[in-house]
Amino acid sequence: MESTTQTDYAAFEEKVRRTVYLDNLSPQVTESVLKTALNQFGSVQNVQFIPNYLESRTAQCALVEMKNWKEAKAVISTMGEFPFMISGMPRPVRARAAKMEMFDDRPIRPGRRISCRWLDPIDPDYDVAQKLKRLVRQHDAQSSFLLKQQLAQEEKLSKNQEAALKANNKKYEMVEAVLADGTAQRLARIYDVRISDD
Amino acid sequence: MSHLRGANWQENLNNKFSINKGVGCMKKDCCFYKSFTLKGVRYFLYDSVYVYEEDCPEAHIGKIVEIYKTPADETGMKLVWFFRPNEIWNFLNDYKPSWKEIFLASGEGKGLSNISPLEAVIRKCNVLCASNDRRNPQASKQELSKADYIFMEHFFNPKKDQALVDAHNSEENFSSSLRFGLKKVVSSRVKVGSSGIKLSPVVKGAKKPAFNVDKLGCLLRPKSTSAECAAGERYKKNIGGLGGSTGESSSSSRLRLEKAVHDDNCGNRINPVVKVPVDQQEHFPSDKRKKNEALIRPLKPKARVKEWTGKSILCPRFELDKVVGRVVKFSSSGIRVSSVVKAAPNVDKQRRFSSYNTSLRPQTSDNDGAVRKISSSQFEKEAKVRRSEDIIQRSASDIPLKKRRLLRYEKESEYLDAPTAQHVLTRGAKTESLNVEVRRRPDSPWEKRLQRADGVGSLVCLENLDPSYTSSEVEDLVWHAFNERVDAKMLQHSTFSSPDNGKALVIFKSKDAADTAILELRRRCLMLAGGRYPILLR
Repeated sequence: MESTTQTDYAAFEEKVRRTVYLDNLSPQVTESVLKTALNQFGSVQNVQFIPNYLESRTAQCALVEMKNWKEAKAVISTMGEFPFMISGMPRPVRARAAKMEMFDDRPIRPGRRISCRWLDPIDPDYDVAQKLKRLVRQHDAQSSFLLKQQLAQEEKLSKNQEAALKANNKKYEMVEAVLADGTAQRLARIYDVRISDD
Repeated sequence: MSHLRGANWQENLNNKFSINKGVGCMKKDCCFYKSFTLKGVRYFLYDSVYVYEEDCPEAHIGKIVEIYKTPADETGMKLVWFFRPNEIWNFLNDYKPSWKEIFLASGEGKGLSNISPLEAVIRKCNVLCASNDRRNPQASKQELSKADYIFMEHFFNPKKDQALVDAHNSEENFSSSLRFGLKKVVSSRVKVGSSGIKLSPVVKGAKKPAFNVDKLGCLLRPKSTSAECAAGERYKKNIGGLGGSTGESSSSSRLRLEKAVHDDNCGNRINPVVKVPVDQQEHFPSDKRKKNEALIRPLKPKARVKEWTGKSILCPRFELDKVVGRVVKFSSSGIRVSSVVKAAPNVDKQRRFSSYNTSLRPQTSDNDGAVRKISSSQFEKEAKVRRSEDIIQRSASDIPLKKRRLLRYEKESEYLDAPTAQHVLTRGAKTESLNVEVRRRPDSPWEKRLQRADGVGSLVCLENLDPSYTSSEVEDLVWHAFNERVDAKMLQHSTFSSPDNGKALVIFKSKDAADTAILELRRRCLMLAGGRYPILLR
């Protein structure tokens, strides 16, 4: 039994090595889209989206299992050097090597023992423990705050871009309308300007 | 002189020296200085300093390689940048930068060095070179711990190399050097003590990464000519002006350089080291090298330009012609801080904990049986006893985990087999949970259970676990600590999750059970091996 857990674990390690972690995927991306996008680097074996329970963000992330580690490496290095877009959104996908903690169905590391113990308030370690707990909470709050800020910034940027796009569109429409309904010609006559290119 | 207003600027005329610079010098009539004083602090040439940039939360770190004053009385300095790992994260590949490690920019191209006004300096930065080279005086542990940053590698922008390579050598091995890679730098250590600055005499040789030959005899940088990076050139020139002693040593290192190049030509195999690990033990077997090459593709210039011109600018005043872009920043800060703070107490804790474990170990399964009996008899009264017994059993058992779990089931069936009526009555909820066996019902997927639990209020998030725990280990842990049979799932690690804080979603059997567990963990602390204290949150 010991040996099977070990071989399981080794197989899992191998799987981790040939898996790529993709981040910043647009919400519209599906498994088939990912497969077609990444099949140019090799053959995609399996795609698994990582569910997001706690954080408030729209971008998806996924684990993509390639055929071997070379393909995985190629994906990572190419995406590191060029912006790679999947599904149209202006959102370059990021690729990184997968880590064990990213997997849902990881086997237990062979030979690991977990031990635990309760600390009562009278225990000398209790204060330390409380302090560390508070610290963890604090870090968590900080990082979620940062994330929120970043998302807000992204939101702002996309709003700006959208506004700019709309404004440009409006201008073009106005120009077109003016040319179409003869206003431009009329004004040209009034100001004695030639607008038609002859 | 307008931009100097307000700053306490004082020229150091005694140290003034001017050099007739050769071709390629932008400022023909400039005076070059060895130091300047700003707000009472004297900064010397080759000091590493923090530099301010508007709208940039993190100060940049640069090395002053030129301090000059133009005939029009404009002062400025040239800085060669150090990159933080997050700034060049894309190019690090597998390289794991150590704590405090930064990278010296080298090569040609934008973003490696800047001209900036002297006032941009915030304060000195203690950057220590920890390169493992014999010419580099090894820094002591104390010095390393005192240093703000260390650097071992330099970040090499091979833009210029490409042309040189095409012209001089078409050997395929070279292609690897075209890639942004990390190569070893033999650099002199520039020590910045509290007293002042020592410029060690080997600066020139040191700043020449070209002939860095490591212990295994691998030539790390392919060609001396290509290695004439911007920084290196500057150093050479400036050092030439510094005085006799430095000049001498620099010439000696030049000799060495030529020799290295010679060797290189004879052997005419240049090691295409893409990434050189810090410890020099690692050797690249030739077939591996080949593989590396296969993966390597030269960057398209266009892409690179995009990369390098991302960030502006040191100070708007110099924006027009002198300032070049800064590397794109990756804003993933905030995480770094957490790990250190925790690291310190951990050591101590672990030690204590291990001794605790060993003291318990002698109690083997015999003993267990006894304790178990006791605990089942006092079951309803003394939950505490049982809990501690569990812990003992857990830490004492040398049985593999699976087996342990089996044991646990046995134990449970014992409870079920010999249940006193009282037992069933008082611990109704508990027994019920035992009757409903732990086996996952295949028809109810995790998502559904999660939603239901969330609605009922029995869903809890367990935080501050070791991230490498698996879901089943968490279930075991909760069983041992709280006596609750739960469904648990580790949250999968993603981009924004903290690398130190493993989180798990735990579904308790009922809202009451969840409440009790939360209260319990609030009242007391559960300590895990490695000094972790889990937190329960709803």
